Amino acid sequence: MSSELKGKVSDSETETVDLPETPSRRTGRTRQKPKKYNDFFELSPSKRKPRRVSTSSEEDEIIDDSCPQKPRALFSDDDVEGQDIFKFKGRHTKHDLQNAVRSAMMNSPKVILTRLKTPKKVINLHSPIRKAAGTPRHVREVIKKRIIQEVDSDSSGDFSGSSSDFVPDESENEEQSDSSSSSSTSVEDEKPQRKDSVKTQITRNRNNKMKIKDSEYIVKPDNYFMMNSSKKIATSDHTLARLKNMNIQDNSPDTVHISTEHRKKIAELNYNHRQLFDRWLYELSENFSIILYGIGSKRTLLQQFQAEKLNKFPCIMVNGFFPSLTIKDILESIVVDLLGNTTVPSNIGSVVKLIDSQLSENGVDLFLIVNNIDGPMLRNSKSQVTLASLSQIKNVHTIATIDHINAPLLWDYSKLSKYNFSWWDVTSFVPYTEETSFENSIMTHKSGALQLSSLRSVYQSLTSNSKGIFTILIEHQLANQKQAHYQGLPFKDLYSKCREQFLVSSDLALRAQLTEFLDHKLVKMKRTLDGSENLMIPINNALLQQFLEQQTS
Amino acid sequence: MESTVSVSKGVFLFPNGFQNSKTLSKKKTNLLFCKLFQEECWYLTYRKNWEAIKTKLNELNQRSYSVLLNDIVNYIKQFYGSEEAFMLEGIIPSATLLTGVSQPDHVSQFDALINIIKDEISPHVAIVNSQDSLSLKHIVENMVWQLIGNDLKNDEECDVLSTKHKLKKSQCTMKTLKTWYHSKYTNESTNKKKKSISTKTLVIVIPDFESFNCHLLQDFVMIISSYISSLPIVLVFGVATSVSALHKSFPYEVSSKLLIKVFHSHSSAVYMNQVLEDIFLTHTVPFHLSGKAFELLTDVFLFYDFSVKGLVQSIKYCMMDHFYGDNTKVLCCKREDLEEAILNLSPNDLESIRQLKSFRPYLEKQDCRTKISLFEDDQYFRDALYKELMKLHDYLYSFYLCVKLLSTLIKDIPNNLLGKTVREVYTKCATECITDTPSFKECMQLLSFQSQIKIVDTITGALKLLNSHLQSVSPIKPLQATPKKNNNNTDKVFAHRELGESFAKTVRVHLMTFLRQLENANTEASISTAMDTDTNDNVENVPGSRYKLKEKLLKATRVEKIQSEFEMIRCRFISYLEEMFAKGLQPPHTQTFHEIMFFSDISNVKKHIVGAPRGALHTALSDPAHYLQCSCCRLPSPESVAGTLPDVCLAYKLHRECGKHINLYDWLQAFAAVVKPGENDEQRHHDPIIQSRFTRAVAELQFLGFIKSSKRKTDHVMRLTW
Repeated sequence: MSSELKGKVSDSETETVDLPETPSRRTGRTRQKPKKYNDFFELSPSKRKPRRVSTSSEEDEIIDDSCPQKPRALFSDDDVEGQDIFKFKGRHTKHDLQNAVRSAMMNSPKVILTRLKTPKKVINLHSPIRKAAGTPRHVREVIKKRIIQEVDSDSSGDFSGSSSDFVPDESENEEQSDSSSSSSTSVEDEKPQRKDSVKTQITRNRNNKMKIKDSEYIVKPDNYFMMNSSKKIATSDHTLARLKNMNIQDNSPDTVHISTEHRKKIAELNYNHRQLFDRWLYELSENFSIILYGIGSKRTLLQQFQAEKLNKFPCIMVNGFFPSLTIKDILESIVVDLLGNTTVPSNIGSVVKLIDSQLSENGVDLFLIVNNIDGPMLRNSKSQVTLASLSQIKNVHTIATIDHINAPLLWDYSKLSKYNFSWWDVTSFVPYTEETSFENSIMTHKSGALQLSSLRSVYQSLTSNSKGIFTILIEHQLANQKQAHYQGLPFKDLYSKCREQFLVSSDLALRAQLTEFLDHKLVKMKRTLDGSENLMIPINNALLQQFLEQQTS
Repeated sequence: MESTVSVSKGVFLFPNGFQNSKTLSKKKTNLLFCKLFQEECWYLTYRKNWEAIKTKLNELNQRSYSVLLNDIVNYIKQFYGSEEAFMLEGIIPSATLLTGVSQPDHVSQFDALINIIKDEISPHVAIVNSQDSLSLKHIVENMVWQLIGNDLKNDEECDVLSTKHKLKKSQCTMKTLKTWYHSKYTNESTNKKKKSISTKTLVIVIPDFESFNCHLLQDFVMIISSYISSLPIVLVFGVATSVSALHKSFPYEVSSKLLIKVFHSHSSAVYMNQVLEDIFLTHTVPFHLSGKAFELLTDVFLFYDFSVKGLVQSIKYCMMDHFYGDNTKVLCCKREDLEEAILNLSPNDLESIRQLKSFRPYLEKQDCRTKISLFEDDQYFRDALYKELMKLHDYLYSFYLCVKLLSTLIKDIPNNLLGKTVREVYTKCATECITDTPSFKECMQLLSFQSQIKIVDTITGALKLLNSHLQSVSPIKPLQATPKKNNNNTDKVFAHRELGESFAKTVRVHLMTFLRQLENANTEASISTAMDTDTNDNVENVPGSRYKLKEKLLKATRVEKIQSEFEMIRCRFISYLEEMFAKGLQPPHTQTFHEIMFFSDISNVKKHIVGAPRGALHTALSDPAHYLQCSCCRLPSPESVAGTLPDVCLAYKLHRECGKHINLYDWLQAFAAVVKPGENDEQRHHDPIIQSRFTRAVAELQFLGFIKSSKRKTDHVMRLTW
């Protein structure tokens, strides 16, 4: 991976060497030089640079030999271009996403048809853009010009040179907004125009790409800092709260959406992978470890492997994605559960020695199957050292999978040589159901389903009086949600409100009820400067609203 | 399926009938894992070849380590051996072995060191690895345990001290060590003091100095230095980088306690060249790598890991791939086993040999009747096969000889057109017909400019190589003549042998005559002309007219040079070399049946040796049709998106359009707009299926490490790639 990048970088280096001098001057100078002087040049290393510029294949060869050797066999045409993965995109604007969506919809013929039938839907499709295009056109022109000027003048901003993505798109938007805002234009008129726009967009993309290939792809460290320098986040302010029902969080497998054709192809892929089982066994028997990579869950594949080929041998299956897994669990299951010892020695060396001697004594081969050897709990160096030393044992055979993009960074060369991996690409596109079930997913977290459900379960276990107290708190908080610095409900006020509703009879009883909430972190108590205690619920207002609605309905 | 899914544990054991009871008979537990492939004959050939290579490797290791290790051993011996007089108080003698960066290779080196120390100096050797040394207590315990423990094992036979010395590991301290040592040596050796002490040095080996926490080591050294007066301890450090690492991590008060002597081991590149030249680039090993494959492996070594162990493993992998499941590869064996192997081939195997690509040109050369009998008559085909394979062996013999000759000849010429080492020359020779290349021609030209002394030197070097080559093969010579059974064949076989050993012999004869001629040839003619010009120059140079000088020089070039005898012979020598190399350095892929002995399926193996996980992820996500081969996901350009893509791919592509931060809401809307283009915003807000699909895709991207949650702004995630 990194090598792909390396190769490219070295290419670009030679380019940069060539760039600064103009070709006409270059040839003129070399021509003037007498032959012998030229030879002298070759010998003196300090003046090699100007000679490098003159291009003839033979001379290049000579220079290549004198320069550090370059790898030849490592890179081939079917490698993934490092540029594809690693390139710095110029400047990302919030419109990039929309542009991508729009082009996608334009590419699919179905969409164009529907749009042609009902121009109203076109408007809906572009509604975010349309909202942005509310200002009159000439005003926007002026602003746009000013922005461009600023971009050009301000070199320290997070804009890189060739990031004019945004501007042509805007003009296109204008075109479209014109065409659709003048509602009298007929559908027939629109059709060729749209086609044109599709065409221009595609060619523009291609042009852009070419441009990037020629000049833009020089990875400068400056770019990185430029990208990260601006503190401001240039994204829109929409939040998920705008969605109506953001509480569906059943992570059941039937929510997985795979089209029937894909399902068929995935089955074919799986079938192909199963043909490799014998080969794997052969490599394992020669003390190589197998590592599987590629997108898609590889858990079932390994299970099939275990069931088909390893049903006569002791196996240990490790789920690396399991959030509370420790390396000690693995060692314990080998040393205690399998080999029948009573304790696990404390340091790695002696454990490995123990396992090695006991296995070879018994003449038994142990198979260590690790789903996600890059799992969060196995990422520390100690577990990796342990696993590597285990894999090194002659009678232990390791099969592991990786999924994280940076997983290869886990291993240095001494670990790699202990593992002695052979790499297999088993891309399967099987959804990661089990693997992500433990993951604290962003969406679930953000949507607060977890909070909501915990709130609900605590709430349901409460007595009706405490429920009432909690509702008072919620209602008060929601009533004051406009307030910028909401301090919470003072204890005194809560008490009086509760008394009004006959929920508690004494100060102490209320406090006793509140401890329940405080323990579950459903309520926070803050002491203000004047000594009074303020109570607030540390949960998003929108969520509270939702909760309240659910309870009342 | 369900057996390995649990919310309470992550490790699952499948004993599959295994029980750790020593009462069970060994036969039953001796499972057949290693014997899975045992009945396949290709596997047997593979094993045989690999074992041969392995023993050779071990021998080579022994040879290459021995000098260095003997130096170290002698150094260690000199302390506590003869006189303790020159020892200073509290100073630990220590050897520092600069090993070089590729640590995996050093394990075997240190093993060899420990063995040799055990044999020659003392049985008390402890090796302290960094992985076992989390604290000072661990280091000391570990060390003392090993020092005493080794001894206990030795004593177990006599069973005298074992009961007394049943130590627990937690009791292993320096104090125990001291008492143990004195009870063992000083007491019983009061009468013969000198001798016993001199043989029982305590050696502590620390193989990976850099990976230690340096404070631990500092303390450790200080502790040892306080015991040095009573215990004869020597430290051996293995340092991967340079001696300065030692000085940097030890402050003055620690390093002043050490008496350091530095030993250098070979650099890995030298070691690799040695391994390749002595083991793999010879005709004695039946398995050969094609030029491309060889280039890949050396590139991996030079640009990735710098580890010879890794290189050997890669070659092993290539070999495994070469033999895997292919019975015709049985023929990839030693010359003397060939006949039997051919006889054992089944008709099916013969058929697959006929399918080989290199068989085609051979077939076209034959007349019609032979063609038919080659296809119909298995016995006839066997004979032909034998003949051709013998030829291939001969070819290999002369090919490697020529490669080595060429590399010795061009070793000293400037510019290194064909490379400095044998492996570089081999790569060039094996990929193309080297004699047609301009760089080869230039090399020959440069050779033809060499002086007499130089050229005589080169030829002597080449002859030396040739002789050793001939010697190494001579024991096999009688065996070569054995295939007497098929008499009609042998005549032909030997008639065809313009290559092979006879080739080497003729080359030797030629080189020797050339050498003699060149040595005796006089260089008169050239010298006389040179003299002439010199004298003229002296006369003419006095006026200092540049123009005249130029004219003079021009004239000199026009004058036909009379070749001296030496030059003539040199010229003939060069043309002979060209002719000989043209014959001997035909690239392997021009040979019939080269597939049997040369491994060339490099693209297949490369994926497994050098994994590209991130590339695979990227390809799968941006162009799923590449893997799925489905009709619905063919995209017009790599950037475009479509609703039919798998959800993860779609989310991935959309996320690539965003900057460092991604607004989840916008992302979701974009996702929904692509998946369900017909709906409007309101509908999308309500669609729970889209939302759950998106949620899953986001979770998977997070699992793959493309994004992570961010607290900077509500409902935003951070992109982890650029």
